[in-house]
Amino acid sequence: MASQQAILNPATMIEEFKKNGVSHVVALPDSETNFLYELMDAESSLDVVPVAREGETMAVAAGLIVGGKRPVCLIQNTGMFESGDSIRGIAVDLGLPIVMIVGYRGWTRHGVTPDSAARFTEPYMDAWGLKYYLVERDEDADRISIAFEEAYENNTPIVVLIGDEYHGFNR
Amino acid sequence: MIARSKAIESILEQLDDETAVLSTTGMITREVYAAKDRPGNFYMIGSMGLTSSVALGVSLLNPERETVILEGDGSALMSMGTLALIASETPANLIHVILDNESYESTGAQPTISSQIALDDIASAAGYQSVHRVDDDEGIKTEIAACKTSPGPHLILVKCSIAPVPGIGRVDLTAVEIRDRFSAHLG
Repeated sequence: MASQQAILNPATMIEEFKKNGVSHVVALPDSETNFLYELMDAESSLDVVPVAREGETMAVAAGLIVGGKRPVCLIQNTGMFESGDSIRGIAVDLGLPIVMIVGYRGWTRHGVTPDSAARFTEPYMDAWGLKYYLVERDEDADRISIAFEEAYENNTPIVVLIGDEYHGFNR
Repeated sequence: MIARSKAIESILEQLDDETAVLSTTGMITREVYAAKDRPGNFYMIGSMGLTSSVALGVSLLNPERETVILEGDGSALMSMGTLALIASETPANLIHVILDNESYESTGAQPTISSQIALDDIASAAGYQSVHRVDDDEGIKTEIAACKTSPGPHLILVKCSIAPVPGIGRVDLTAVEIRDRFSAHLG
C-alpha cells in the first residue's frame, strides 16, 4: 500500500537534526508535529524553546545563531504567515542561516484543497524569495541536510515543508 | 479542577441570548459549538490569538451589549499585548475568560508556559477593572454573576483540566456564514 509506505517518522526528523548539529528547536506546537514534539522533548541533545507566537521563532533563532548555536524553527504554515515581518527583517535582511521546518497544513499531492493555508503557502514563500524543499516521507529526509548545507553556505533562510497528506507525524 | 468543556457549559448557562460570545480557534470553539450553538456566537476558525482583538472591536461598537471572550492560555499568551489594549480602552461591557489548562490541548496537549506565569496578575497589572481566578463550577457561576453587575473589563482565569471530549464535531458553518449570522445578531 503506497500510503502505508509513505510515512515520515518523527524519529527520522530527530536523526536529521542530530546529523546537522542542531542545538535548539524553537517551536510552537501544532497538530501535525505533535509526535515530533514529544520526541524532541525527550532528546537530550536538543533544547526546545517553546515560544508564544510564531514570529518569535526567527528572532530567538537569530540570537542563538549569533551566539554560535545551531537552531531550527518548527512552526505551521499558518504561523509562517503570522511571522511575515520577522522573516523579512530578521531572517532575510540579516542574512541568517535560519532553517524553518514548516508543517504544510492542507497540502495534497493533487493540488485540490479547500484550505487557504495550503493555497497561500508557496506563493507566500515566493513573495519573500524563500527557497524551499518538500519532505513527505522518510526517503525525502536528506533534503533537510541539503537545506542546512545551503543555508549556512549562503547565509540565507531556507524552508523545509512537511507534506502532511499521509499524516506521518500523527500516527 | 473542572474540565474545560464543563466550564464552557457553565459559562454559557449564565449568559442571555443577546450576549456576544467570541471563541478562539481549535477545541474551545468546537466545545462552544457543541454545548450551545447560537446566533450570538462568533467562532474563530483559524488565526489563533486574535479572538480578544475581534471581541474588543465588537465591545467598543456595542457598549450596551455584554461581550464575552472565551480563549485558552496559549491564545492569550500569543497576543498578550491585547490584554494591555483592552485595559487601556476600558470596555465596560467586556468579560474576558481565559480557560487555562496550561497546554495547547487542540494540538496534542503540549505544555504552554502558563504554569510558570499568572495571567490573572498580568491582567490586573494591565488595568482590568476586576480579576478573578476560579477552578470549579461554583466559582464560575459566582464570578460571572459578579462581573455582570459592575463595569469592566473583567478577567476570569478558569484553571481547568486537560480533558478532551471524545468524538467532538467541527463547526459546520463556513467563515462567511459565521460572519453574516453574527453580524445580523448584532443588528
